[in-house]
Amino acid sequence: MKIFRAVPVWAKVAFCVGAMALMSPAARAETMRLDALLVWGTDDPQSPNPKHRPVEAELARRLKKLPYRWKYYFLVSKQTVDVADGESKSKISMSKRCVLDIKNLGTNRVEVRLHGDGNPVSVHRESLPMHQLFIVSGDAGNETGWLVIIHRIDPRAEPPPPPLVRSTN
Amino acid sequence: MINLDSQLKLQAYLDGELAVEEAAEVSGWLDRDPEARALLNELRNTKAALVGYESAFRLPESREFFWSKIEREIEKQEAAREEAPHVPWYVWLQRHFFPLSGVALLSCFLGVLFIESGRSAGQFGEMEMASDDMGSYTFRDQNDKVTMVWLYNHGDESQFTDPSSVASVEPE
Repeated sequence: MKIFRAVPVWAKVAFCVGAMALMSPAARAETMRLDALLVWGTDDPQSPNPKHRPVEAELARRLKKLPYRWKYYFLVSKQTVDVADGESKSKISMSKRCVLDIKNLGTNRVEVRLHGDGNPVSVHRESLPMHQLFIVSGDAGNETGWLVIIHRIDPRAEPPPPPLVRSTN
Repeated sequence: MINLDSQLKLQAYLDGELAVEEAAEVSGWLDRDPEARALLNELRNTKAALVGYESAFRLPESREFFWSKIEREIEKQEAAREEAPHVPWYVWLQRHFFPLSGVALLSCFLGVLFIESGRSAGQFGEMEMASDDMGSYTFRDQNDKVTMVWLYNHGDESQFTDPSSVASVEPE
C-alpha cells in the first residue's frame, strides 16, 4: 500500500485512462462474428418454396423501414461465420448461384465480394459496427427481390457457428 | 430618518468620544430633534443592558509585552519564509515536466484512437462493380443502423446485367 501511495496522482490517472483506451474496440484486433442471410422479398404472403420461412420479426421490422416495396420477406439461407482481424472467409455459399467472400479489414470494417453464377458481381467495403445491417439487393424477377444481408452479432451472446455447409437452395 | 453618519456621531456622543465643540453641536441637535433623542435613549438602554453581561478580559501580562510577543512571532514567520530551501532545477523539471509529458503522451494516444475509431465509424463505404453495365443505389440510415445497396441493370445484353442471377430464390 505504501508503494501505491508513493505513485503520483497523475500517473494513476494516466494508467487508468490508458487501460480504458486499450480496452476500447478501436484498440483491439477483434474477430467478427457475422450472420449472412439470403432473403427473398415478395408481396405474396406464402412462398412457393416450402423450405422458405419468414424472417425474424425484428429483421422484418427493420426491412419495412427501408425503401423496399415488398410486404413479405422469406429466409432462403443463413450462414454464420467468424472472421479474424485481417483474414477472409471465402466461398460462403448462400445458394447454388450466390457465393460471398468476406474479409475483416479491422476497425469494424468488412469487405464483401459478391459472386453470381461463378462471376464476380460487386465488391463492397463497409463499416460494420455491432448490430449494423449491410444489405446488397437486386431484382429477382416477377416483381420480387433478393437481399444478401450481412449482420454483425455479438460472439459472447451467440453460440459459435457450425462448419460451413453448402446451401441446399 | 437619521443617516448612518449621524447615528455613529450619536453613538460617539454617548460613549464620550467627541470633542467639546462636536459634543455641543450634538447636544443642540438633540434639543431640536425628538427622533435623535429617541435614538439616543435607545442606544443608552442597549449599552446599559450590555454592560451587565460584558466580562472584562484581563491580560496576564502588560499590554506592551503582549503586543511585543505578537510582533516577534510575525518576524519569526517571515524569516522562516525567506529561508525556504532552494529547489534544484532537476527537481523542478521532474515535478513539472513528467506530469506534462505524461498528459501529452496520453492526449496523443487518445487522439490517435479517436481518429481511428472515427475513421472506422464515420467512413462511407466503397463499392466496385464488376461491370460498367451495372449501376447501384445506396441508402444509409444512421438511426436504424442500416446500409442498403440496390444493384440494377443498364442494359439487357451483358452477362452481369441480370442481378437475379445472384440468387436462386425462386422455387426450382
